[in-house]
Amino acid sequence: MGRKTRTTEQTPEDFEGLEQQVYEAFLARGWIIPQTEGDVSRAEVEMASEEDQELPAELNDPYAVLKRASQARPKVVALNPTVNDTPELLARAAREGKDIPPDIEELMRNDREVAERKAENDH
Amino acid sequence: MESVQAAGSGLCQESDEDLLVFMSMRGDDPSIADAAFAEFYERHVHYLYGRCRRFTTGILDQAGALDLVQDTFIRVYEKAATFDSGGITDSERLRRRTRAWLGRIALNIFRTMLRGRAGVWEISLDDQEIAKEPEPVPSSPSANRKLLDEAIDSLSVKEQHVLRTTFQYYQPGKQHQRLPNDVAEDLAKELGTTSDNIRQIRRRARRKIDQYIKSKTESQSG
Repeated sequence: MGRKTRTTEQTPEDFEGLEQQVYEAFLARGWIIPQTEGDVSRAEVEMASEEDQELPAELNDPYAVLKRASQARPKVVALNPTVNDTPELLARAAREGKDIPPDIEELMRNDREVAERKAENDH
Repeated sequence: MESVQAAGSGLCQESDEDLLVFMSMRGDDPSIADAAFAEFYERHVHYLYGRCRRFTTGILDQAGALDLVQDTFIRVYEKAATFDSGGITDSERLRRRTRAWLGRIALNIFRTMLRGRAGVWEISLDDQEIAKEPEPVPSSPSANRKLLDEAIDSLSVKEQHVLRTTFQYYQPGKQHQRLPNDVAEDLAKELGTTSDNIRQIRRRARRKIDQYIKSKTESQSG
């Protein structure tokens, strides 16, 4: 069995040249989003007639998009402490000796009253 | 909301770069940041929507394209500080540079969306990579763009889909590029085949394009 010749086959280098051309053709078709100033410039010329096209209702309000941002992404750290977090936060505030905000102070007072009532009932 | 709109009314003269600076200072003045976002959004939403609709047609549905546009703008708001103007002050050039940056963000989110089809939504952006505009690659000498377009049109829907999806990972000017394994696997899952088959479809599609161009060129010259 003789060795196969590659006269009609492409080398990897040929493929890379072709790939660049296909990439440019896809870019011209709008199948790839422009990522350089030059590509944007060409796309803007091409889509000049599309600029007046009406936006879908979902895209009309930028503030709605911002609102979606705050709704869609759960925060890793809860900004508002839950009831379960409160004792730990109170203890930390006390340990660090800083001023206690009025709302936290109110929570502490309530906790203390609950604890005192519980202690009275236990006796 | 009233105060936000009032704050925004004076921002229409600001450059894109300045609007992004306002957004990046949202911790200090959220209402100005939101107004800057609104102005920025109004300037670019038609462009971005038009582009996203075009490049996702046949890959994402309408809702997916809308998500992509919205998520790109959300990412802009969150990552405004990473924009690099490259020292450009000309407003036209700055607009194009801004839109190129928007394109890189959208592409990155789009890639994540493709990978998230079968799993969890996850954003993994390399901000530095996105901030840096790729070096422009000189156009390759294409004998005939019309022939190339005909060759692409002659491919089957499946071959076009595979090529279009895999070219979202193509980096112009970079030598010896390989299709990432996870991309091939995800695409295989989507099309109900194997990743080896995806690579074969891709190779076959490229070969068909090459052969189409060669045969037409030979018949024209002969």
